[in-house]
Amino acid sequence: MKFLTITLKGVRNFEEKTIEFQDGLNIVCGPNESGKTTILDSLLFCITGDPRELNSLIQWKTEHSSINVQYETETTQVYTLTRTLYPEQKAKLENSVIMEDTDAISTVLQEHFGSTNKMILENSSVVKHNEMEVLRKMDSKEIVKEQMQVALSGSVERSTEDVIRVLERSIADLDLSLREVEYKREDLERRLNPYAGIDEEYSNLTNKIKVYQNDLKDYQEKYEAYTSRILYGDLTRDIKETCKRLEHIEDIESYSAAIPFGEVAEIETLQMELKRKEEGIESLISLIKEREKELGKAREGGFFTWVKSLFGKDVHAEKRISTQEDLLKSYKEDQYKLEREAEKIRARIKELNNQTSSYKGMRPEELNHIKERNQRKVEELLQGLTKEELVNSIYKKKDDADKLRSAIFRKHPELLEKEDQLIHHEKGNLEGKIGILEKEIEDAQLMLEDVTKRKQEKDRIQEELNRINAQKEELDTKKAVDQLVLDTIRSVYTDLKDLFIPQLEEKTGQILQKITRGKYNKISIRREDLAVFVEVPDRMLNVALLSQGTKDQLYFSLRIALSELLSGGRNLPLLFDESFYTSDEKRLRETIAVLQEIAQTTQVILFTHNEDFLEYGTPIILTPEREFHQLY
Amino acid sequence: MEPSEGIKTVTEAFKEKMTEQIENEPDEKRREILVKALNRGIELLEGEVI
Repeated sequence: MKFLTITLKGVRNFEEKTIEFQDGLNIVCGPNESGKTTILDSLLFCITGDPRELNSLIQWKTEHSSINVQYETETTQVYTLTRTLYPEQKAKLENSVIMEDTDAISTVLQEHFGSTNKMILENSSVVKHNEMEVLRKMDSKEIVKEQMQVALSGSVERSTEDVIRVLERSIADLDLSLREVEYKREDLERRLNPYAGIDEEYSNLTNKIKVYQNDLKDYQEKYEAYTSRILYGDLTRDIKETCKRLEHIEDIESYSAAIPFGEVAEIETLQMELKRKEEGIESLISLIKEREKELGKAREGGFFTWVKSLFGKDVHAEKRISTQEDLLKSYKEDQYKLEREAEKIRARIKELNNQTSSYKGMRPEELNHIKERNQRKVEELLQGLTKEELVNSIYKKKDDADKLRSAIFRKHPELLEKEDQLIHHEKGNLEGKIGILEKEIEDAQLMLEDVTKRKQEKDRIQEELNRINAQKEELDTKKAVDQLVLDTIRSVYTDLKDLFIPQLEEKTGQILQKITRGKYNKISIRREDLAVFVEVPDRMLNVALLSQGTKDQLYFSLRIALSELLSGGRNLPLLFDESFYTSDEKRLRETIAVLQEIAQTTQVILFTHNEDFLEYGTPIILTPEREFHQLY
Repeated sequence: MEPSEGIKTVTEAFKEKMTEQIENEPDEKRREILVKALNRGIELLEGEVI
């Protein structure tokens, strides 16, 4: 893998510039602020496309800003990657085909460079400012450890060891919290002991009250039925009595209506007439007697007259007697007539008397008196009502009674068959039972009040216990999760180390062999403390005992091996950004020698302000005006 | 140098191992814990939480 060219348009202080990179060692040289870091940043931006870098790269007030990088893969395929930064952001990757889809481009770049993650790229391909000097002062095992951390954790800020420590601390904290929670839980369970069975007690009591209340309701309902039955009986009797009253009234009214005022008046009239007739008869009898006496006298005086008449007629005497006889006859005829009439009157009176035998001898005034008395009696029986109202009241009572009867019949038909006395007796029993039940309910409710208070206290403690249990469960889960994470991370970390270290040993050994021209060809990393040893004939030599030059060679070997491992063997170009800023001349010469060795197989681009490097590779000179002078 | 397979990061290996366990876990409750563990581990490894 190597970079061929980079073209910057409207990027930071570059208007439009192209530089070409060669195989081997490229020396990009220029003073401070000449644009070295811009080129490095632009190379990395082109691969990552990280939008966070965008604003820092676009030139102030430019009309167009883009970066174009041409690179060649290990399989000698040449790709041209263009990223337009402004006025719009887009990417284009050209090979035999042109790709403009950013996701597809990213996938291809990931395949070519091993990663498009800036941090991974920096750690695999870039040796930062003064990094060599810093690393020289470090122990080799620290170098290996740090690089391993980057390689395996994918981060320099958060190493796997840090994560393991965080998890261990978290689990210890969770254990502490769990112990506290367990104490609280035990305390709450102790406080719950006195309330054992309170729920059952509460339940039994509430059920008991419910049963009592149901029984009471039944009794009260039955009691009401008995009351209705009694009311029904009373109403029935009342109706009967009222009907009797009505009958009585009607009897009285009939009786009053039957009082024979006319007959009695007729009798009185007839009696007066009879009396007159009888008096007439008496008078006639007297007259008849008188006439008969006179006739007798006449006849006595007449005897002589009669005798004389036998011998001669006495006309005056005979006339007198005849008159007397005619008169008597007339009297007798009158008497007979009167007697006949009297007889008829008597017969009528008798007939009338027979018709009004109950009122015999009564006078009309007395009859009126009877009528008035009956009227008073009727009023008394009506009790302030009219007869119509009394009749209506009977209808209403009958209607009420029917309703009552229906209601009783629906639920308690047996009550209709029972005697009133028995009903009263049983109602009394019900009253007794209701009283007892009401007392039982009252007592049970008092007990329930006490039990409820205790239950509430128990519920409060239980609620607290539930909360604590939930807290415990949450902590248990957190601990289980953290333990699982810890175990898994430890496991994969160990596995990766076991995989990584042998590969690192092998690759570092291969590179070291090349750059030391076979002097050293094998290294060993101790698993326990990651100390690095170099094989010399018959033994393994601790790297601390090596010369500084050999240490540098070893470091470069490690760095390149790590780059290989991180990039998946892609042999990425190595970019050195003022990496040897503080090195003295001797160190620089040693370093350059190593770089030249590395550059045999890997493209190296060294960004430096030091013109002394120019002679060791392909120079690319940057002036403060951003002019490039490439010398071949 | 011969090309070699790239070394996985701990995060990648952790994700793979946890995902495999989650996929093969028949117990739902245990699976929930595994999912929580996966998220927790990623958060820690990627530096999102301390």
